[in-house]
Amino acid sequence: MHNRVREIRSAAGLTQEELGAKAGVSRQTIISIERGRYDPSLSLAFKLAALLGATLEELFHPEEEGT
Amino acid sequence: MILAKKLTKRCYVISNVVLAAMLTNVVFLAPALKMGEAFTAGLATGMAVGWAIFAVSGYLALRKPGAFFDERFAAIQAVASRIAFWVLVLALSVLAALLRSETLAFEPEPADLAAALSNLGLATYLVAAFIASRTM
Repeated sequence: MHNRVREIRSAAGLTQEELGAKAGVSRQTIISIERGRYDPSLSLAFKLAALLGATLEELFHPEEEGT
Repeated sequence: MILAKKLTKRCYVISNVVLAAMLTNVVFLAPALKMGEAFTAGLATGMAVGWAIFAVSGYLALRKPGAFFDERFAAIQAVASRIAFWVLVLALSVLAALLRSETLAFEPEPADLAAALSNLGLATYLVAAFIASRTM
């Protein structure tokens, strides 16, 4: 899953620590999501989208076949 | 996994009471079982350390919800548990054959075997959790 969490978080002026605290997850979890190593649950994805003022589609999009 | 996702104050208190009861049992009842001083001391120390780790990490988790136990942590635990389970199943199936074999004459003490298996399970869990935490 590709995502724009880092880009949108930076634009919102939030640190990984702050976003994690607001979303109720650890900083490590935010780091893993931004690096694309961990795909969040649907509820966490919605929470992140709401916190960052973005839609789910803006934040996450599936990897296309062959990429 | 549910506990790791949502550690409530109630769960924390109940878990601590259970762990305290287990440790008390070992300290006070183990001598009556005459398992050997070194073994009893090792068992009690291991349990005390495990309890201390749970008590401290649980306290931190309650003070800062999500900072320690969150869904990624639960996913790591799930992966580690799965790997440890299958490694133990594999070890048990190999052991079953080894213990039946007359040519190999593999005759360990049952207590040593049980300890080795529990150590294998714990070690596999820890290594798998560490590797999973690096890749997830």
